[in-house]
Amino acid sequence: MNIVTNDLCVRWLIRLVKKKRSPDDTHTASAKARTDDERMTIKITDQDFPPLQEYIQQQCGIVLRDTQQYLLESRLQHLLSMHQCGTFGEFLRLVKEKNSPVLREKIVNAMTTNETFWFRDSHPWQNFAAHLLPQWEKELQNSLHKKRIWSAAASMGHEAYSMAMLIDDFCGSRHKCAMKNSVEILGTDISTSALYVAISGNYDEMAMSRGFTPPFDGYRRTCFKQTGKVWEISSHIKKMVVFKQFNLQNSFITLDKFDLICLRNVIIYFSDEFKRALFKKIAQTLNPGGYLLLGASETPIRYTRRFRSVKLGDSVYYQLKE
Amino acid sequence: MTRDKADILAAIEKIDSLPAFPDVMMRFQNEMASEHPDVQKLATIIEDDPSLTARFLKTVNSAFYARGQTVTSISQAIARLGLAETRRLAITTALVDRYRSLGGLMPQNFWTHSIAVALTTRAILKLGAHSFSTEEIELAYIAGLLHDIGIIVLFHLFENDYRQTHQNQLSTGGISLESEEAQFGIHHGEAGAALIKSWKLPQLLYEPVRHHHHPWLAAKDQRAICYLIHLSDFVCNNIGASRMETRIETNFDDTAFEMFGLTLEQVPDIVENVKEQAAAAESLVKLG
Repeated sequence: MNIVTNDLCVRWLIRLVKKKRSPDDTHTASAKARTDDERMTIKITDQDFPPLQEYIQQQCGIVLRDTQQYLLESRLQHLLSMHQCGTFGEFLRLVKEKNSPVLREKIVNAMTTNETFWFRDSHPWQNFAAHLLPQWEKELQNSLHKKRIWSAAASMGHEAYSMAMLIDDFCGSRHKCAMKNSVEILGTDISTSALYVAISGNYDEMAMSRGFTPPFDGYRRTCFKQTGKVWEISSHIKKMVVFKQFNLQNSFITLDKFDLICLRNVIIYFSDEFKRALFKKIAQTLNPGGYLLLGASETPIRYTRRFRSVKLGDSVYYQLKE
Repeated sequence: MTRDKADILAAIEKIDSLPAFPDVMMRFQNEMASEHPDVQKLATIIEDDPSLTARFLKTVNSAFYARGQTVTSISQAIARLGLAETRRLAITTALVDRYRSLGGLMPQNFWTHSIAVALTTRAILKLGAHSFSTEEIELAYIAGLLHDIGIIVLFHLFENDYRQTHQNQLSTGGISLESEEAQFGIHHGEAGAALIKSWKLPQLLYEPVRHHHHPWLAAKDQRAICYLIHLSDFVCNNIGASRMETRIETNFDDTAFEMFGLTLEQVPDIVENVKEQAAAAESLVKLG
């Protein structure tokens, strides 16, 4: 889910909230009346934290530990400022009064974070290419249906494009162009900024230095065009993926069914209740026999019985029970 | 090293070792604010500066602007470009002419980025929806040109430390206002705002320059321009028109897209449009 934290702003704000403040200026002046420096250093009080913690858990499914006040301070600071709230308590009252889905999404967006890599963790993708794609190739020979993949925490597109590169390679090496047209990839995220990068397909050297290790190193050369400072994903890979904005809190009904859903390193942020609801929706959104791919330390076992774990090579995928 | 912010700001306000801001902007503004702007007077503003005149004509006759016959006088150029475009080009040309050797470690990149951001503000407004007045559109262009001017200040005042900060930012893959503050006591937005204060430019330029990385902190009535610079900065970096050696990875606050009525379906159009602006900016910087 939303993946991008505005690094530079957050780092800056973290530093600012660490600055010492005089004890008497915490609650007094309104945001409007304060000087610029003061309005950047709103601290959360012990009274304001529990209700906000509860709200974040209820509305976003994100569990914050008691020691994580600093997370709220650093990540929501800009929203307080935008809405001219002088305290976190004031902000929560505003959020509840407005009951605005847009504002709720902004909170989710600010609270969740992730790092992205090409071919993250390597082995799930090696096994995707070695086991799942040959299986789909056979199934597609006897079916008119397309295979559909959903990268549900697409962020800047690394995962969705990684799969597109593997499919392109698989089809190219076997001259199975027909199969390439029979696989659709959808990438969704809540962050407009992240999706802008994904849709543009433009990456910098730093992004290109993460994940192109053997056996994937060749894709840097074959699937990107470097122009000056920018590595642009090749058009034949770009057109294999469609990106859309989507909040995992919403109903999945508009998305149609999928044969593989990737939701890696995301559920860690969510409450048990949210996870149960999420896995239920995922199960309803998978085609019979469809797969769910989670992060290495994640499992649906505690929250649903709709999946069985299966090994594709040495990688664990979760398959929807028939 | 910890530096006192007030001292630094005071030092910037007294700075006299950087070239003054070209007065062409205010002179144009004054003339154009009159009921019937006099084209000959406007031409004179440029012609008063032979170096600017030469560069201006060279630019107008460059591949990007050239249409038909070669332009040989400023009056002809005004007739071809129109008043608003003439003013923008005159300010841009005057600034680059005076500051071309300044711009941190990579002046050419710096000015290409700054001009690209300025041009992109207009492109975004055309692609999206907005309620900016003509004056605000012009202001946004100037703010785009000047948004990173604080880099020049920091480099000028603390060259060695700045080199280290630049290197750190390169190795972490992005700019960090935090590291600038830690090193210099202020970040480049604040340094830029202090410089344009010392130049006595319109007050409406302070906030966009100061808050282009965190527009939500700007005064409410100036927030829209701050968001426009913030978004323009991002989209220019995205296509590689960045001021550093590498493309700078940044994010933008999603509010910026909503604010200008933009949709994700428009991203390919925005990207193509920004590439054109960056090419124009590059050709302008490379001239002469």
